[in-house]
Amino acid sequence: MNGMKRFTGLLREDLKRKLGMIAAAWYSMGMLCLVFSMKTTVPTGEVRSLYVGPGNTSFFAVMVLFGILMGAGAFRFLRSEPETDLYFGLPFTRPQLFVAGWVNNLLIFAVPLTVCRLLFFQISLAMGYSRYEESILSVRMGCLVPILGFLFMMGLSMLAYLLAQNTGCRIGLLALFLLGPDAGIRLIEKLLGMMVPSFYRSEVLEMMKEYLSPLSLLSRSTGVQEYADGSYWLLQEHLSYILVLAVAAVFLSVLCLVIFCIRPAERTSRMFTFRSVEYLVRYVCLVLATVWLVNGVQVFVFGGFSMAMAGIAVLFGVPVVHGLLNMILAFDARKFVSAKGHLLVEFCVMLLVLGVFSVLGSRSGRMPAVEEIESAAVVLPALASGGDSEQALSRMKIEGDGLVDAYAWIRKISGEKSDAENSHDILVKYYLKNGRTAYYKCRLPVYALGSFGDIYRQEAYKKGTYDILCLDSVKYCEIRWTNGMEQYTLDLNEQERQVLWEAYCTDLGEMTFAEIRTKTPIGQLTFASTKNQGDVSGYIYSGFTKTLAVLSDYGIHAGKKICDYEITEIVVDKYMKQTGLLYNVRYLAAQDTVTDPEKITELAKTLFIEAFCVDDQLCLKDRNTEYTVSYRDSTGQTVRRVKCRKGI
Amino acid sequence: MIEICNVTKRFGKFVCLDQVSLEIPDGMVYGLVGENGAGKSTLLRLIAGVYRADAGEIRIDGRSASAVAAKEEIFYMPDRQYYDRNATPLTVGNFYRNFYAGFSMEDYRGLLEMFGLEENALLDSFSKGMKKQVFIAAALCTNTRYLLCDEVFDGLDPQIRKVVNDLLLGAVEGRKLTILIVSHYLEELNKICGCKGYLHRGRILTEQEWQELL
Repeated sequence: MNGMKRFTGLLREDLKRKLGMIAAAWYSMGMLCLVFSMKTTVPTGEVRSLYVGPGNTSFFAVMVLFGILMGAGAFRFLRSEPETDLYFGLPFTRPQLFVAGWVNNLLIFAVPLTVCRLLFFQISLAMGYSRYEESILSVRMGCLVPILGFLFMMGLSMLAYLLAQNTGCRIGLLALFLLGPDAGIRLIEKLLGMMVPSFYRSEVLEMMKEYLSPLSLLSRSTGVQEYADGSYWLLQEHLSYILVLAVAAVFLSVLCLVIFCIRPAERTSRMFTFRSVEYLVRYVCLVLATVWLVNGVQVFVFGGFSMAMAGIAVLFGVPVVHGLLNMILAFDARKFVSAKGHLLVEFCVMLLVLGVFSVLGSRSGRMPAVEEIESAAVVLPALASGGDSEQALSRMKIEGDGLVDAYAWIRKISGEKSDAENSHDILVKYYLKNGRTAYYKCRLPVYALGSFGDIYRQEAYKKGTYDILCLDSVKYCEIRWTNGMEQYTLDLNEQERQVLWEAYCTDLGEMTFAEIRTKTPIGQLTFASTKNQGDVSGYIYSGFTKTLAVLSDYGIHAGKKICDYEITEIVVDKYMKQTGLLYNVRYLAAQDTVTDPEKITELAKTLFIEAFCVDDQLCLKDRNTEYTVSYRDSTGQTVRRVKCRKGI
Repeated sequence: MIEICNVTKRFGKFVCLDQVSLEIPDGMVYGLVGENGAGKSTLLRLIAGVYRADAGEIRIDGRSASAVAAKEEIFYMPDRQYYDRNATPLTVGNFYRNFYAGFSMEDYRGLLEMFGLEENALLDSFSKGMKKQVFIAAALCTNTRYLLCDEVFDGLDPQIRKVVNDLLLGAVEGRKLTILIVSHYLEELNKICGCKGYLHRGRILTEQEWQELL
C-alpha cells in the first residue's frame, strides 16, 4: 500500500468523525449565502456587494465559531488513552496525523463557503439582483478573507487545546490569546497616560492594538465596521491586515504542527502540557493583573500618578495575584501559600515592568525639537463644534511660519501651571522629518485660553478642524438648513450649492476664536451626500453675513431668533446636584411655567437652542436649568417644543 | 528484530522504565510479566511509537520505532481498544484495511465466523471478551511482522483462550510472526511463550532474580 493511499484513508476516517461539523458548515453557509445573495430589499444607498463581502457580520460570527470549535475538535483523539493508543499506533508519523486533521478542517469550512458563495452569486446574477463588476471582488474576498480568518482562529484554538490539559484551562488559555494582547496594550496605554502627563498616544501602541489583538486584526481584515456603516469595502484599506492575517494563520499552523509533534502523548497531572507554558501564563497573568491594580489604585490620587500608590499596589497585589494563580494552576485552594521562590521573581518582574513603562512613557511624552519637525497638528478637544479630535489630528498640517509660532506657543503653555478643573487639554501631533510621528499632550489654563486664537486663525488649523472646508464637491449632495426650530431642504442646483458653500467657507475662514467663545450658533447647514458618502455639517453664527445673505436670497431667514417666534409658554426646570464620595445625583428641584407674554419675550432673548450649545465649555451656559419653549411654527397651526439653555 | 537499548521513560518525577535493554528475535512469542505499574504497557507503547522515550533507543529491524516503515510492520493491540460508538466488526475491519497493506478481509470474516461474531452487530452490544475477539481477529489479519498485545487474554473464556493460543502459535509458525505479549496470565504465557522477560520497577530482571523476588 503506498503512502498516499493510506493517507487518503486517514482523511476519510477523520472526515467520518466530523460528519456533524460537515453538516453544520453546509447548512450555515447555504442559509447565509441564500439570505444575503437573494436579499430582495437592499436599503437605499447600500449596495449588495456589502452583503456578500467579507465584512458581513453573520459570516464573521460563523467564521469565529467554526474556527474555535474545529480547532478544539481537530485532535479529539488526544482526550482519551485508548483513542491516543489507536491513532498514534497507526502507521503514520505525527506530522501526517496533524496534516490530516488540519486539511480536513480547512476543507470542511472552505468548500461549503466557496461553493455556496459562488453558486448563489451566479443565481443572483442570473436573477438580476447583482451586477458582476460591482460584486465580484466582494465575493472573491468574501471567500478568501473568512478562510484566512478561520485558519487563524482555528490555529489559536488548536494551540490552546494542545498546550492545556483540561477543558477549563483550554478555555482560559484561548481567552488569554484572544483578549490578552488587547487588554495588555490598553493597560500599558492607560498607565503611560497616568505616569507621564504629556503622554497622549503612541503610534507603536496603536499599531500593536490593530495587528496584535486577534479580534481587532480579524475585524479590520474583514471590514465589519464598513459593513455596519454601510460604506464601500476597499481592498487597499484592508490589504495590510489581510497579509498579516495570512502570515499569522501560517505561523500558527506551523507552531501547532511543531507542538503536536513534540507534545507527549501521555496526560500529565499538570494544567499545561509543558512547564514553560505554565510559567509563561503565570507571568503574563501576573503582569496584567498587577498593572491593572496599579492603574486602579490611582483613583485615590484624584488625577495624576502617585508612585507611592503604585508601590502599595505592587506590594499587596503581587502576593495576592501570586496566591490566586497558585490556586488556579494547581486547582487546589490549599496552594495559596506556595511557590515562594516565584514570589520573589514576580516582585522583580513587576518592578522591571514598571521601570520599563517609566522609561517608555518619558520617551513617548517628550516634545521633539523644532528642527526635527516637518509639520504639526494642534487640537483643542473642548472645541466640540470642531468635531472629532482624532480626525482633526490626522488631517491637520500646520507648516512654515505657522508651525514655528505654534511650536513656540506649545512650549510656552507647557511651562504654565494649571490644574485639571481650570484648564483644557491641548493635543499635538508632530510629523517629524524622519517620517515618524510623535504625540504630545499639555494643558491650557483657562486664563490663557485667548492665546489659542493665534492658532485658530490659521487656515491649516481650520481646514483640519472643520469637515465642511474639506468638501471635494457639492455635485452629489443636498443642503439642509435648520435653526433648531424649523428645518428645510434647499432646492438648489449645483451652481447655487457651490455659491452657498463658498459663502459659508469664507465666513468660517474669517471667524475668530473670540467669536466661538462669546457666541452660540444660530443654525446649522448640512451637506448630505446623495451617494451615501456621509453627511457634513457646519454651524452658522450670527456673524456669518455672507451665508445669511445667500440663504436670505433663497427665502430662508436664517437670522431669525427664538424671540421672533410666537411663543405660547416656557417651562423652566431647575435641577440641583448632590454629590458625595460615592454618589452624584441630579434631581428636579423646581419647575415654573412662564405664560406672561412680556416675561416670555424678555426670557426668550436670553435663550439658545440646546442642540447648538456644543461649545459650552468655552462659551459658558447654565447647565442646571432647562427651558422648554413651546412655539407656533411658520404656518401658525402647530405648536412645537424645543429645549433651550441660557448663557451665564 | 526488536531492539530496546537503555530506554528510560519518566512520568514527571516517577521513573517508569529505567535504562531497559531487551532484544526480541524474529519468529517467536515473547512474554513480558511483572507486577502492576512495572512499566509493561509503557514499554509496549514505546515500541508501538505511541510514547517517546526520554533516553535510549528502540529499533525495529534496524529502524526507529517512530518511523512509518517500522510502524507498518507493527500492530499494537492495547488493553482497552477504542472504537466508534456505531462501530461493528465489519467497520473495524474496514478501518484497519485502510492502513495496513496486508489486511485480508476474507481471513477477517473467516475468523469472525469462527468466533461466532455477527459482523454487522454493534460492538457496544458485545461482551468484553467478544470485543477482544474482534480485535484479535483484526490484529491477526493485518499480516504485520510484529504483534504487540497488552493483556490479550483478559476477558476471554478458557476455550477461546485455547483457540487464540492456537491462532497465535499458528501465525508464528506459518508466517514467522513475532509476538510480544504483556499479561498477568502466567499459565497462558507458559503455554505459548518461547521466551519470557521480567519487569520490576522499571528494570528487566533475570529469571533467577524474578524467582527470588517471588
